[in-house]
Amino acid sequence: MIACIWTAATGMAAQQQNMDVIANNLANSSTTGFKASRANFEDLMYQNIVSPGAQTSNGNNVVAGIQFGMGAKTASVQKVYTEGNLNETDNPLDLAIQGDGFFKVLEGTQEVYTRAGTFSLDKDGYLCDAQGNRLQPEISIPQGTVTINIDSGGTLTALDQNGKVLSTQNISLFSFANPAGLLSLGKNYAIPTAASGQAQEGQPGMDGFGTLLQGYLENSNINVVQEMVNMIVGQRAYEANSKVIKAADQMLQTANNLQT
Amino acid sequence: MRIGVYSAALGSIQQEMSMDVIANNLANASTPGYKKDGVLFSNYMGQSTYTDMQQGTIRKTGNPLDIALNGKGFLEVQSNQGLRYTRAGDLTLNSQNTLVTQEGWPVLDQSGQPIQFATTTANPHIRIDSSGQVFDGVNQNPIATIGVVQFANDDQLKKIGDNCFQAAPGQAQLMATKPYTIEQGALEEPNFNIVEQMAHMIQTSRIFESNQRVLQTFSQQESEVTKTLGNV
Repeated sequence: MIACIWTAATGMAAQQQNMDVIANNLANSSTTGFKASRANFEDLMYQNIVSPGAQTSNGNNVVAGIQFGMGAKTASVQKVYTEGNLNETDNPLDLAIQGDGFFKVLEGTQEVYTRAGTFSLDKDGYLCDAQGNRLQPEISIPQGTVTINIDSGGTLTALDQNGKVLSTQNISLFSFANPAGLLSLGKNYAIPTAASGQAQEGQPGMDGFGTLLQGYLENSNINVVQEMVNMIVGQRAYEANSKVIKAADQMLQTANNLQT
Repeated sequence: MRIGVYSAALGSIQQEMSMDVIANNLANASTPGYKKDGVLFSNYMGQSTYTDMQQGTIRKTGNPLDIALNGKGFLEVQSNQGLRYTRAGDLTLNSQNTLVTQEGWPVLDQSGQPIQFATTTANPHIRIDSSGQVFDGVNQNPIATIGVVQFANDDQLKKIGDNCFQAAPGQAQLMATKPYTIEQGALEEPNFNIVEQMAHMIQTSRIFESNQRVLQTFSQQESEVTKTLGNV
């Protein structure tokens, strides 16, 4: 019975982590390009007193053994890379990726990947993200540019006031075999890990890459109602586990009061 | 001591076991594909735990790499220690684009091979139909069919944690013959509801208490007897 107190504690810990994940999802429901996380659970190891299927002395198999589980654990917290809704902003430097892929920006000396397409120009005329980090490969907008057009294939055309083309450049996207394996750094950034595979460069619209949409931003893919339901379910499971601890405690108390 | 003392003590121990099983069920209230355990009190001395293989409800998640098995059977998984069986369909791709479980173990197809996607495949395009055929969104033909294994006798499967079952040595596994469907974008919930387990828990703790009362009564009677006899 002491075991079941600990078993219930693992259940409470798992639900607590579940709640942490939900809280972060809800807090980021308005973050551009944010992807929901999900906690995945697994059962812990089992204590086998009698293994089912084991041979008995008369040559038969044990039909049902005795197994006690030790509770639950969080196996992983996984990013769910479904697409968020697109939001029209009319800002010519806002880019949304329709489909797969990431933008690459250089933060200090580290290459990081993001789906948040809120770009602007820095003082030298380079395309940079909301943190001021330049998009890679770098794209510089020539002086005298009035209009910037970006087509779905990622070709950026800079035009002056007479409609003369000043420059044409390409915006690249990067994809990963397993985006769920990326390591989130905060600030909408993620970096590759051994689980995600290496980044592969490509042009928007190529096989395995999404297309670009100018003047739109990708909303987070959080479904608030879904998260609220998850929260209620998680809270009730937490409560049930706490009740197990209480009941076990009462049973122990009864046993302790045997000797009056 | 009278025989009843031992019965009451044994009853208490059995209820303790029952409590351990309920605690583990409730701790796994969010574990996909989890199957609840129960305790069989078969006779005076014997008791055993069993796993209830009933179907759990299926919850939509919208994640293309979540699959739920509807019907009998298990997914076959190649773990480091050999073949394992699971109903937890929260799958993912690893860095080599192989379909794996959350532990990173490959899920096998009908011919016992890992399911491998081309490097250009991105998971939103992966489609899995109800018979388990996997389409990568590039080729017209399915690249593999998810293997579903059914056992003649599920009772002999042993839970080993990590959402997996292990077959008893020598237990024959067969490819699915009974009907099943695979649902993409959904997960199977644990096959118990919290209320039912709470009811079991209350019952267990009350029976435990009754047994303890019996022990207490025996103890009082015995002390009374000793006292009375001592006075004769």
